[in-house]
Amino acid sequence: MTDEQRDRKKAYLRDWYAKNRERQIAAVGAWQRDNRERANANKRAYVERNPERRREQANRHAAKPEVRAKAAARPARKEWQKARNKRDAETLSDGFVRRIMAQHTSMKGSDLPQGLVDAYRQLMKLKKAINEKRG
Amino acid sequence: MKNVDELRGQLAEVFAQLRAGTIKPGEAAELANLAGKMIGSAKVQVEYYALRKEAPTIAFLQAECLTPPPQVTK
Repeated sequence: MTDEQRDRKKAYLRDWYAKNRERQIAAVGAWQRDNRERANANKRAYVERNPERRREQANRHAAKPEVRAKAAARPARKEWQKARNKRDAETLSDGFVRRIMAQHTSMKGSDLPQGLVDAYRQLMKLKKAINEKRG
Repeated sequence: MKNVDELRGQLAEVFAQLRAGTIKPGEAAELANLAGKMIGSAKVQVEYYALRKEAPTIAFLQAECLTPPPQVTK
């Protein structure tokens, strides 16, 4: 296929999609509803293949003004999150320690070995005690 | 100190000594800093193998394989 043919094909497909966009989206949606398990498996596989794209998409969504406004309009949830973070920091639950350890890495908290998590929890306790002693 | 369990034990010991006042906060901070570096390097190793989709035995983390992992609580 020559470059010209490729460009013509691209243009044709773009036009076709512009004309049939709604129908195509509806058809995909219908297929996903009818084949929920396969659709979910496909989505999971995609996220596993492209974790950074999933993260980018989530960040783009969270940055939308309407989404930010919605979050800001729910102070109760914010308070609940604050309370949860405070409680987790006090109890140093497994989930909390794993979340902190996995920050700024490509891993999920659940990828970390338990022994490492336990050692990190002990380290957090020690650092807290040092800060308390120092005042 | 050969593995992560021993490191945890050492940290618990330092914690107890700090509470009892037999060790100064500055000294404990130095040990905590060193332990943080060790944990950080082990974490990087785990991440490296996870990215390469490999699951070799990491000697530093091996001790935990002798006991079943505790249930994760969220």
